[in-house]
Amino acid sequence: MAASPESGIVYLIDDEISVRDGLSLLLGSAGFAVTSFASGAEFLAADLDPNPACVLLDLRMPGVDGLAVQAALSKRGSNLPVVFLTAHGKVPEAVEAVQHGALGFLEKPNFDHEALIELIRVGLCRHRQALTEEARKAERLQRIARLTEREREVALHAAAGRANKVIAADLGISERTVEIHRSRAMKKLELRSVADLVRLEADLASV
Amino acid sequence: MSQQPDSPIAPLFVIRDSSLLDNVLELSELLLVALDSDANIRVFNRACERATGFKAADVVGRSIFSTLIPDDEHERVRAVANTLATTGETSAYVNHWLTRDGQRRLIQWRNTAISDASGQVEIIVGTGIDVTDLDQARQREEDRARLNQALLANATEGIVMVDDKGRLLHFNPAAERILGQPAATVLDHPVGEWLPDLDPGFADGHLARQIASRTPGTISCDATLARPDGSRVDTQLIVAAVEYENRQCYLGFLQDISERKRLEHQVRTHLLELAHLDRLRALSDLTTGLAHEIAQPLTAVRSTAQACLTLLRSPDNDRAELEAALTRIVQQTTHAGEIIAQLRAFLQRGEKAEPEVVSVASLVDEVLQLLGHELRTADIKLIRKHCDPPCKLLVNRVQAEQVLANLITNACEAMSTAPGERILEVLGVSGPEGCEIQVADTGPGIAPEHLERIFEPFFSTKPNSLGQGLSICHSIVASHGGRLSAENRPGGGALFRLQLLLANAEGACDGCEP
Repeated sequence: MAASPESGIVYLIDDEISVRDGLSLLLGSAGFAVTSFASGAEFLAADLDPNPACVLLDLRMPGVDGLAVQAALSKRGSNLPVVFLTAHGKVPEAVEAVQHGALGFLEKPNFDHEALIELIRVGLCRHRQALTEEARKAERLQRIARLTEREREVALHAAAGRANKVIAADLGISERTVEIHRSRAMKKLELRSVADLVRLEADLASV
Repeated sequence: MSQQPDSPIAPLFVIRDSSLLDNVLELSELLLVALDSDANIRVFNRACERATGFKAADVVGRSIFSTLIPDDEHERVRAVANTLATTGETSAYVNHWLTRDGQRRLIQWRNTAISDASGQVEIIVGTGIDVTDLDQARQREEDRARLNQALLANATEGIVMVDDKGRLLHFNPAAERILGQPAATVLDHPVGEWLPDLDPGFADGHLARQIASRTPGTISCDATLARPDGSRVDTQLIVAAVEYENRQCYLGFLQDISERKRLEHQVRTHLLELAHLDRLRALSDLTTGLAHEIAQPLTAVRSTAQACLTLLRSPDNDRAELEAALTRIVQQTTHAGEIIAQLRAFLQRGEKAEPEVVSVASLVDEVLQLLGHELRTADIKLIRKHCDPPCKLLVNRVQAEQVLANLITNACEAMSTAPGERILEVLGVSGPEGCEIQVADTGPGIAPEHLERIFEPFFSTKPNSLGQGLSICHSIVASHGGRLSAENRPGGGALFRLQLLLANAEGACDGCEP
């Protein structure tokens, strides 16, 4: 229970003010920071905090409904986890929500509060991980960006486990030249071992 | 004035101048004809000319049988003429004459024979009156009396006539049947003696004045009357005042409406059952929305209560925060209770079948509250206007709400696939006799070929509908003495007009005062 407010933000979107008030109080008492919105459109238009967050989304709302909010988030490339709340759980809607990556689907009014808190905690944890992974990847791509095109090419071949001789033959350059490109790349990428380079293969290929 | 038996009657004047007599006879309205012993016409006065169209010159000198007597009466007329000639007695007789254009006129005759010195009949003089028109009138009168008799005897309505003392003058077989009284036992008896329920005080003319004050000059009322055998009969009685033989009399038309009442009751029961089924159907349509409506406050209550528990367990809890949270719980629980109460009222199956006085505003508000969720989720803009001045209706509340709910749900459904803005208008318009609630939408409207059939049972344009909703609505409104109609709005969309009687308007009973 001892999560501190810094551990994450819950975005609560529900058109019913009584539900927003009740859930805000509940989640607040469980230690989460809660920001609530009265409609999907209001939420989608808001500037979101860069910290780990989880979305608690009412499925059926006038205007932009829950599924539409989820679709808009995923179109933006957001990796915010979404937990759905609904007063009339219909199987097809639940399936659709989960297929689009919803973390959970809870039915009003008698959902288990512990389960909700646990889901939000999982969501925040995943988002935190996702944010960390995102940050790391951004940093790796930044390093890769320092390479010249030839250096990146040589590094990619090396990451795939090819010997210098094979790389030289493939690229039609001398083995010595391959060695020079490779060592410069290793330095720019701040890597020590071939194993480190192998881990970068996907990133190198994606550029 | 009495006459002395043996004093001779003095002649008014003595005709000395035969030309004066000729003139009198010529100008008289009396038909005057004289025949010789061979039945040839000798005298044929102007009145005869007028009655037959023949000129004296056409017929004088010719036999009366070849000119004026129809063939089928020759024998009879000759017999009369012979009797007169042989006995010389004055005779009265009726026969036909043929006119110039072939019509028959009925003439009533007094005939006299004038004999010569030898006692031979020389001339027969007939004076006649054309009674054709009189006879026709008498015939008509007889026909009319026969017709009246047949009407009275065969009418399915009981027909009774009462004089100004309340005494029974006429009592037809249908009245005997309906009231279980043979006419013989009640004729000439005052009505009040054997029908105490029906003695409105004939004597002082009060009833006649009351009838006269009405249009169309009759009083009508429903009455349950007792028969001598103790059974009771539901009747409708219409009373009219008539002058008869110089007295103020009253004609009563009595109809046995027991069967009608029974059918009405059956129809009402049937309608109630249908209405109940329709409410169940509407309810199943509403379930999703209602579940949502109830789930919302419950969710809020549960979350808030859970938060209160958490707050209570923490050492530094804030009393004010707890109190605010508990207050919200109470409010939300009340709200959930209200939704359930509305639902119960909606489902109630005519438990309160009696009409009650309901304000239009409360009717509209309650239905809109029940359907509020549907409106919000369907993105429908609501324009509501209450009638001014506020109207009160005399209706069965549950049924009136049902009709309104049906109309509004239909409007919402109609707009669900329509492009453009969705606007639902629910307007109260007050008029002199009633109130009209208009439900208008911005949907596609009603196809012209459907407008006529829209209130028929089993007519539907929706794939999953039995087509009972509007038909039941129509019956419900009709049973309230109101009117439900549908039309298309000039700017597009459908408009339903629900017209209902005002609570203070004269309605159900057509004036049956004691």
